[in-house]
Amino acid sequence: METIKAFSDCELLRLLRGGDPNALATLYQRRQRGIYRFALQMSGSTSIAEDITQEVFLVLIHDNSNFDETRGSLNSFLFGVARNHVLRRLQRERFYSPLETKDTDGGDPLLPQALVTKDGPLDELSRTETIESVRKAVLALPERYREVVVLCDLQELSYAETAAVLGCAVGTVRSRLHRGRTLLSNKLRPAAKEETTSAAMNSTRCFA
Amino acid sequence: MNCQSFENIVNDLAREQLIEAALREEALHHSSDCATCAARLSDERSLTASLRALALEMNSASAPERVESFLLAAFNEQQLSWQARPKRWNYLTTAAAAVLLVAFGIGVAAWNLRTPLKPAVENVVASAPHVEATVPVVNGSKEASLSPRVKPEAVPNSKVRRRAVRPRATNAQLATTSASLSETEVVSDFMPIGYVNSASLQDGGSVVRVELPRSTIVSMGFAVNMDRYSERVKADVLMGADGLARAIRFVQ
Repeated sequence: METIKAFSDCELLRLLRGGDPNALATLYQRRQRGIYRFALQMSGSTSIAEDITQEVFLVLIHDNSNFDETRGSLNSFLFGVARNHVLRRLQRERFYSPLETKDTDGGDPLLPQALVTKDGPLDELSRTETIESVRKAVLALPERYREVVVLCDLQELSYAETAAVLGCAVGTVRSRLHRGRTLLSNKLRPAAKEETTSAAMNSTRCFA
Repeated sequence: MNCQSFENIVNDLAREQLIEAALREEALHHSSDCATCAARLSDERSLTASLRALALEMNSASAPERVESFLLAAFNEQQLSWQARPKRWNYLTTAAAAVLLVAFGIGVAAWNLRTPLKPAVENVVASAPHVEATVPVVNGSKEASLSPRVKPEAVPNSKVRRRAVRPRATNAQLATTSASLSETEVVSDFMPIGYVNSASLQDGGSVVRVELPRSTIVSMGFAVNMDRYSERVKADVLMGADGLARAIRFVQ
């Protein structure tokens, strides 16, 4: 099991085709986080992210003959499958509006507990709010820009890898990223101004 | 560098991507001179920092363990179904057997087409004793030179004749069967009369023993010895189901 962890993705895939369950477990442990986070950042829903992760690896189990080593890495292939499933799922869910639900402990299920920092409570609040606003701004982007921002900025894939996932040219990725980041800045700018305004009002109220 | 060129690389600059060192220095120098581009770069860096913070916060997120359990169960189930499925060589063996079977069938069909008269003549042989029992056999004069006189060229339709001559061994069997009834008789092969084709001979029929004048044989298209024109010849006529004579053989 230790030696199999040193294998490349393609070698693991060959073992997987040969019926080795350890190869599947190793591949899953290696790649599931990226796929899950991508689906979560694209959809904003943990249940959708879970479903997408499961479906992506089911494709790898049942229909892995579609993967061609010469066209790109296995990671890009998995992201491509995940992207297709996410877009399909978002298209389907567009007709439904979610019910307003609150957690029993009042926290946001989308924000992991790791958000709680060791800084002071005001810093922690500010940081949490900033991250939450960025998360909402990313989710509000059109899908074609959102996927590029998620892949390049959040998943930290290169332009070439992102182009392989999306099936487009590197130049297209660059221009979409530029446009997506501009839209993101525009969405975050009013929030930053409001925060500044509200902070000034609070200060005034304190001193009054 | 102008502001447009700076705009083209501001993302890479803020995201700390690999760019040429000279270009980077030039862009940074431009941003120090241009307040607008400096603010733009600052915004981009702030956005990058925010996105990295979001990515960092979600680093610990991963799919629950039940997904892995489900996937491993699905994988094991697939492996079991594959083991239960017939192997590839089984398909190949079945396909080869099917091809051999088809080839054998084609061979048998071709063989049957090459010997079309065999079943019909056997049918005639089977019916021959019954007919000969009902028709009185007339033992007339002997025809010593019967076979040489009946020339193949005398048959009007050469195609019909060729097909009729082909099952010669079968006609010999017919002659042998008839000879068992009368050991002293020597018979020729059945020869079609008129424009009868081999297909009509396959319909079977009845064999009738007759005596014919040589003039009648001439009218059938056979060559005869004109010196013995007035003598009669003994023959077996194969009658079809419609009562017409299909073929004739000569008996000595």
